[in-house]
Amino acid sequence: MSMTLIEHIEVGSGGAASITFMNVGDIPSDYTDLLIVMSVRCTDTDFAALIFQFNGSSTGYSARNLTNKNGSAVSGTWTTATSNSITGGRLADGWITSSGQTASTFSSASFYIPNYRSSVAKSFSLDTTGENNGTGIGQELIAGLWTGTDPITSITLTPQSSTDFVQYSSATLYGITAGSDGVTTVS
Amino acid sequence: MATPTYVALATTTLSGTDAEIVFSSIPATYRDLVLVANFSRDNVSVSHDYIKLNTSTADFTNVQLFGNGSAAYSATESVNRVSTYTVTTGRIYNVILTIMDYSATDKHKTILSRYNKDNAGVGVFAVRWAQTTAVNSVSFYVTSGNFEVGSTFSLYGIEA
Repeated sequence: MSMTLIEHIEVGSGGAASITFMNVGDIPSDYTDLLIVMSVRCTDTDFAALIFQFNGSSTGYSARNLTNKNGSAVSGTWTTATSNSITGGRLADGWITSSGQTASTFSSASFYIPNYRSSVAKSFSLDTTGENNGTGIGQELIAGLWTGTDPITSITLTPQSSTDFVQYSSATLYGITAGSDGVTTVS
Repeated sequence: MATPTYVALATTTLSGTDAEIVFSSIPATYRDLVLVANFSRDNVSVSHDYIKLNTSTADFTNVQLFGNGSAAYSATESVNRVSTYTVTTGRIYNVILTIMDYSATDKHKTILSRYNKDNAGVGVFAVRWAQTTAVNSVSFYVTSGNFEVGSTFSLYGIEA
């Protein structure tokens, strides 16, 4: 099996200021790639950005985004792709569903990080969507790079403005292991 | 998420430059394929990465949505491209391809390409290969220049 559950975190009552993989010890070095699947909501009053940090680093990130940020109509269009320095790994504003949106709606994301153990910069892929029962919904594709050359041993996810993730927010970290089945060849 | 179903089929890390990575003898026992390409390239003037299925470069069409940091675009083409935007030599990018129902013989093949070039552009291609032949080989390649040393390419089978 080349896809392995590393850690699942679900926020309990009272919320949480951040989600960190791993809280104890380092992300194991046993895998090739990492995949994070998130379902989160926070206590901000409107859609909030997410701060993510590899190894606690707030520098060295760059990205191109393709965003549909539809604050007033149900049938939004892809309107702009903005350059985003994502200082500290900050996503474009307005992704995490917040207290100002429809109750019980959560935003979701899929975050893929190839070669997280490499000794060169890490390229990553991030797909997100907010939710608000039909209005003010946003989607975003992000092409990112972190110039850190150390293996990624921890990942921290934090809502902007020092707000909290609400109860039932969850994030799951998987390890993806490349290898050979003994049949398929590559040249 | 459902039961994890990624199965590693083959992987390579380049020890020398190479313009084309070919996965062959792919078993027909999975539902879908995922190819993860994490690479740098040495030719800054070439925009696209390409795919071959069963060595074929014919009968491909695509629909694209992409952005370069200042504007968003859409396009259609009748070629076997799976990404766009020129690159910076030595900079790491990734392309993730999902090839649906690759072994089916009763439908055309569809491919979702999600590509990430942080200093150039981001986007998605919906690709159609208008052949009903089962896929047993997949190539990822560039038409000029090479992928650089250290680039990695991994193929996975997805069980349904």
